Amino acid sequence: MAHTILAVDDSKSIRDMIKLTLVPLGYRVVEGDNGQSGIEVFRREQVSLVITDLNMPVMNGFDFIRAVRGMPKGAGVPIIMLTTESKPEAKAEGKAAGATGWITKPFTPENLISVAKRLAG
Amino acid sequence: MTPDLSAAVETFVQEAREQLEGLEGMLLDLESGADRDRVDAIFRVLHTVKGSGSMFGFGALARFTHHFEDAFDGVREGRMQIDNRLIDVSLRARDHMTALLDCGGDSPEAARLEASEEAASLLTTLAAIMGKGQGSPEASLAPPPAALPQREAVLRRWSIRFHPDAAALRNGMRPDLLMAEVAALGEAEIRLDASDLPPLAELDPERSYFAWDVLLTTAQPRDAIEAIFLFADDAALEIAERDPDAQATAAAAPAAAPAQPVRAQAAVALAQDTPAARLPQATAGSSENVRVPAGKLDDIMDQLGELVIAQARLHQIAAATQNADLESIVEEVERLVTGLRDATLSVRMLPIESVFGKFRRVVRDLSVELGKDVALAVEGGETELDKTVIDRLSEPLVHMIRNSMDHGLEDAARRQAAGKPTRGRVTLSARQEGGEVLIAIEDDGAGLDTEAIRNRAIERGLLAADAQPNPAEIHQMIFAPGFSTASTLSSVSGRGVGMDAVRSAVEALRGQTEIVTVPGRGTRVTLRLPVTLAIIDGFLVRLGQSVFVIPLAAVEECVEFEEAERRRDSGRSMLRLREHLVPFLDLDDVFARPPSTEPRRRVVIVKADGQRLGLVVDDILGQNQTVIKTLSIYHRNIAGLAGATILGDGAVALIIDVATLARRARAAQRQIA
Amino acid sequence: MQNTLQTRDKPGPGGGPDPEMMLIFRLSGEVFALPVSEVHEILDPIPTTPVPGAPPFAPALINVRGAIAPLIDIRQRLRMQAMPASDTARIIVLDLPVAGVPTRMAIIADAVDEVIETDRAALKPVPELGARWPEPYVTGVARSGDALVILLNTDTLFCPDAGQTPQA
Repeated sequence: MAHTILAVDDSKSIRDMIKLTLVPLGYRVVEGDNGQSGIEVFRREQVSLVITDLNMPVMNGFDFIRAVRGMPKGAGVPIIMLTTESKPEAKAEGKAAGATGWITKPFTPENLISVAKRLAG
Repeated sequence: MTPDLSAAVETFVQEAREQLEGLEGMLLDLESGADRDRVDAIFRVLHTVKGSGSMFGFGALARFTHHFEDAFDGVREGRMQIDNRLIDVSLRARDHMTALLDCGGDSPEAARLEASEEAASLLTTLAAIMGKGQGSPEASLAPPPAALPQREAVLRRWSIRFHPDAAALRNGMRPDLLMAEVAALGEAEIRLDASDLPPLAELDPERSYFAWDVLLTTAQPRDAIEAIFLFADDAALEIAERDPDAQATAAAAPAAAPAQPVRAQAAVALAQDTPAARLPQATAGSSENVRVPAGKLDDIMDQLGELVIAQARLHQIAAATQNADLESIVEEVERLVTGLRDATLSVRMLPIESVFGKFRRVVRDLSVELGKDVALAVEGGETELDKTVIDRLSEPLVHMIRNSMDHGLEDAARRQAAGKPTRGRVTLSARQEGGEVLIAIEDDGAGLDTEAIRNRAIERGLLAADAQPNPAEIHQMIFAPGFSTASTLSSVSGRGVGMDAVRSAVEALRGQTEIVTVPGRGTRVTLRLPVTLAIIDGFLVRLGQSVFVIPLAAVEECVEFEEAERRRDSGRSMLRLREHLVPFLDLDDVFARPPSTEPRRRVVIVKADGQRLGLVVDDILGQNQTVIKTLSIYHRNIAGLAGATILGDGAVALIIDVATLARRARAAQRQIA
Repeated sequence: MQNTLQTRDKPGPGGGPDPEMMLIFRLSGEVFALPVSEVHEILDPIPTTPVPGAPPFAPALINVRGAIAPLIDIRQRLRMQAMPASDTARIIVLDLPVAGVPTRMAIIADAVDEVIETDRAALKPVPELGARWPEPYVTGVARSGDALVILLNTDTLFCPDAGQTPQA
């Protein structure tokens, strides 16, 4: 069965890029455009990997990660945060919230593919 | 493999353009107060454009935006104050970002812009405002690493120790997959270090107690190994070359270098483990909207136009065939086509706000340039218009606002002398009325100087010296080509070419311009525009063998044409309609056709320009959906024609421009009177 | 120099004197040529819609497969007599830039003959014929068999603001 990857980003272009990169490899990509909608999708779907932006309207990435980790089905699911911040404290906060790791923007499709393979299998 | 991301790049450009458009309004909003939400929203736009820009090949845009973002980060964290200087430079910076976006990626043009004086001036100003020197944190914005360069296949041995932190498994870390990936790089000896494992009774099943030691022999460079752990906890990774062969590593070393600074920072971050400032939530709601390129909408509209024409043909054939089954299905198709038409047209409708927003910027910039304090008021921004109309209105409206501010509004001294508030006011309003949208630009300036316009019109040969037009007609002359009353030329409105261009643009949209002025009180220019351009309900009439279309929206009623009812008192052509006298035009006269010989003719009563007018025709043929095609350059300027359409039988029919006829009737009446 | 007709070479697509394919048609007893590259299609006569108030040069509209095209009467510009339509009449549909805008338009021909290859550089000015044709609208005269073929200048012939036929 295809692994489902949840991409949460308020920028459609980033979500598109994730989709265009991963769907051809057989992954199923579901989307949320902020933390709130991300949570709804996460509840509905059996997600193998979450890729989330941090700075988003309505609900930011940190709150989203905390919310996912707070759900029973959220334990053990890899969460990768996308960050433009080279700011260390953002990474620290993300990690404290329960992120598995991060990818720094700009990232390449290759980065994304290797992360997906490694974390979603 | 490299996926084709061009679709995502397109999305990015569209998204960024919208965000930059929105950004302008947000920056202008700062003038009326800077609350947290506004600043956050601005920061987020910059952050997104920067992050996405660098990914989609807009490096110059990303680099520039980084500095701009820095400034707003400063504001967010209270290190900087919002003042006019910051708003000014931010607006300019936004324009610069738009210009960089328009370059379509990292092109020579983008490089030129990046090195331009404007860019340098903006960066210097931003730096000055932020109270720091020119030094810029460029390092953190290194362009994305390109595909790994070809390197000599030199086998090297690495020792890797990976020790994920205790929460790693709970947080989704998959050491098994990571190790498999490492092994795939070459020959790997993987050893599990379980020395931290506690006694079973103390074991927390969600906790990670393990470390892995790998001895890897590979031709891959260091960054390939690092890439595997890209997302992982950096602090827990050690990579060392086992027996480094100085000669062999020389080639690989520089390529591995760029990754270093970032890693160093990350390590510091984890060591500090300081809670970061919580990013506040903003108010923007998520939406279920689908974005569609405008071109696709136009395609749909074109196809729909063809469908409407084909459907009309079908209707005609069915009517001739007199097959009840066929006719009923044709009726059904007609109903569906009408529904589809209305739905499609509604998709094309946009609130006029989208163009009004721009004018705040225009007014602000002009206020500075002209040294006039001007407040812009906007009303009815939610009024919807066809997208094409909105796109083509933007320029004319800018002209009009410039005119109002430059010529209409007096300077502060004169306003004070006239007992007016020194701050001038320009009001931009929109509302729908029947099938038309009325857009008005009103200023509270001095009003048009009738005498000056008259003199200038005579001077320009637009008016005979002995002509006695009424004031309203004189005011209309400001729309004449080459007209200007400004005694000094101003860079703002030029030589009055503006109002001429306004009228042409509005007429090309099948609209009209009206002007009302009160001396000392101000001037209002109203644009009347059709709500949609593409398809209208048409009313078909016949003149001899020719079919003409009158826009149904203008039609009030149809009556028999009684020669006897015609009143030719003092030569006027008036029709008695119940207790009113209505002027009328015989379309045979209007279109220079031979006079009709038909015994029973009809009058279509239309309303245009706020007045009723009768149009005498030979017969009334019914209604249809009229797909409006614009006339070619050879016929565009013929008065009384608004376009052409194709009828069900394939014939071309002309569409009557009712408003022009109404003006003509009025002028004729005045001449007789 | 009013009576001599200059042959003004329009640079071909390559800029050189490449032979160009020309469509030969007849109108009111004369033979004309137009570059094939500007011809979109040739139609049998179809109903036309007269446009009231239109210049005599562009008197009507036709429906070319769902697009509305102006019908141009080139005789008006070339100072030729109008004649009743012939049985072999055709409508030549052209795609040309007019005032910078790509425009589809149509002209009437009494007959469409053939397509010939002509080398513009080989065109001879025919001074004794020059006086007959308003100079701006003609690029030259070529000989095709026994007939003289008048090469039309599509840049100027369809220009909307050429106004009145120039006086020779």
